[in-house]
Amino acid sequence: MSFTVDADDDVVLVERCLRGDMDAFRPLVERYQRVLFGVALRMLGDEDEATDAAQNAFVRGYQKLKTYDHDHKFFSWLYRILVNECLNVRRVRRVRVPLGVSLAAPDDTHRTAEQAEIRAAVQSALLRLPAPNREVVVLRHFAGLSYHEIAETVGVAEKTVKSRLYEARQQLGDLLQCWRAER
Amino acid sequence: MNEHPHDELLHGALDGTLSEAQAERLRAQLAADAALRERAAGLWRVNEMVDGLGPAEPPGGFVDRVMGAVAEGAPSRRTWLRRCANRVAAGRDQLFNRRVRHLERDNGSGDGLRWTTGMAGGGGNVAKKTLWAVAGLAVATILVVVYFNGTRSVDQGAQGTIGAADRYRGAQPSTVSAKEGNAQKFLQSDTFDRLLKDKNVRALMADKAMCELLATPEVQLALSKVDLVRVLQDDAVELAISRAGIQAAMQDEVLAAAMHSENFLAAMGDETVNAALNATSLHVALADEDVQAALLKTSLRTFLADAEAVQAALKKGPKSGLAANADVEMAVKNTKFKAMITDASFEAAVRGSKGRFANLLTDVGFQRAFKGEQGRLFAATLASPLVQAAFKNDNFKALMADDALAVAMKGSHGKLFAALADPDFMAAIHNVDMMRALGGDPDFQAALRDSTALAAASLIRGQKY
Repeated sequence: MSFTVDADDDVVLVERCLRGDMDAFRPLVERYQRVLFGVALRMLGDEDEATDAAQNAFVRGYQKLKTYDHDHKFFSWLYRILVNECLNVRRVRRVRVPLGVSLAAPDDTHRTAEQAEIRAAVQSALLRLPAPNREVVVLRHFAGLSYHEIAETVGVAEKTVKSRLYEARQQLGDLLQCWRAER
Repeated sequence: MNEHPHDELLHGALDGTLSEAQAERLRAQLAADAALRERAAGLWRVNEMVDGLGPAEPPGGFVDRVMGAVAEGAPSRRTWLRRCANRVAAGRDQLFNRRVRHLERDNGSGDGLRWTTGMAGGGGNVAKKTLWAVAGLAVATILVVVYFNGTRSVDQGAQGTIGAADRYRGAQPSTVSAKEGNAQKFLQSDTFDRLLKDKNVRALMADKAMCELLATPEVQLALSKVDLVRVLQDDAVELAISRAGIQAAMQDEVLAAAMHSENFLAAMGDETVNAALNATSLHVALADEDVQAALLKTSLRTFLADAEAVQAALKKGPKSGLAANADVEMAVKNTKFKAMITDASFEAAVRGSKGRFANLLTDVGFQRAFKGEQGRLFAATLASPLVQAAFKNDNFKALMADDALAVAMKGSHGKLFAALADPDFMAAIHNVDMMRALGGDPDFQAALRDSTALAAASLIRGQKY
């Protein structure tokens, strides 16, 4: 999944919001809802929680718009808010919801049960990664960000992004070894 | 973690960041190094698996809910109440375009049911569709009855006031007056007053197609026979409702055709059929065009309806008994078909469903529903554990086995589904007050069960149409 970031347009919309035009926030929500929800889902592994986290990120983002620095990308700024929301969700999480096939993509259900199990296993493996590694994997694979964009979003050097991504893939490979052998 | 010397190239290739020179270098190294090839294959496989999770769509109406929360300045606090509020703020957000919703029973308050939003993904849902067909129509019937009666009262020079209590104290048609009781009481309740003031409900009442549909004797008969509230309050059915995203399935014509096919309705109440419908082998087989063509043969239907013939064909080959038919022989040679009929659940369905399963399999609409994209959705729906649980539920089975409901669904010729997909209708039955009334208001429930409403609807039909 990837999305196009129009930084200039984002800034214009933010400015309109700051001038009191709340409707200007809607295009921003429409633009980033999928990527934010997708990232939250893969970070948290639960759709309800992901929806709450994404919604809260938008609401808090709107409330804190005055603190947004136009020198940075709006998505990067919003993403940091989302990360905090995900952490909040995890903090208050009562019971870890078992991962099920519902986490898989909408079109998966026609495939074999084994493929559904693989997806559940991949989601489970993602959740077992150290948070910094999971973050870069999710941003790379589900937000479609480049190394540079991930670096800016996460606030680390590009080299660190690469290192975490390599390590994460290796860890995923280990966690999914039995599934890799299936083919 | 130690990095492999070629990691940067391998990951760069995965991420599409290599220059042509780098790619060439990697190709050369891969050609010369078996261990590197193995490492690359492993990485590619992991990459595929991660990408295989696919994109995730936020639940329907998400943007509206966010904007509603932004307007309120209140982030989600993971409370059902908050979700209800967001739903109301979302206004006309359509029921069947949402990814998930929870119909949560409130055991303590006596409110019975209340709507909340949830977020899981999922396919269409037979249980939900049927349930809402009945629920929506029941609610709409009451409203239409009241609406026309109220209008007539005003026309006749009765009070003509807007107050709920006064509005319906005027002269009523004799057939209604003779039976007035719970329905009349409900009409004068605050619950009804709130419903009537809802703009979505008003829009629904102005919908001619809906009125026409409600006026059909088949629909009225169905409504009079279904204990709606009992079904709605059943845990398994509620769960199925709560987790099933109806989405495209609801508005898909092919699925709609399958849903109101006589064979489908007859089969739905059968436990063995439900178990068979959950079998992957069935889904695979039905998606196969050769199998579909074979299933349309009368001889094959006869074969499938006879469990002994199926067994004989499998044990002794097709040249035995009923199986000694060219169509059957051809079908049994199909590996997908064979996998289907060797499934234990299939045999149980053949033995236990008294031919209903065989009829379902050879139903053209049912087969068509299994093809293509909507087929995946349909198969997923049938295979959902929650839908299966609902199918096994006694109340739901009774509902599905109700002849009047079957007649109504079939007899509506698509109007039922068209009406259910109407945004105003969706919004109306989504109204919080409506849901509260439907699930928990004793007057409302009594009114639903009271034949007065149906008698009045008949009367209205006679006058209006």
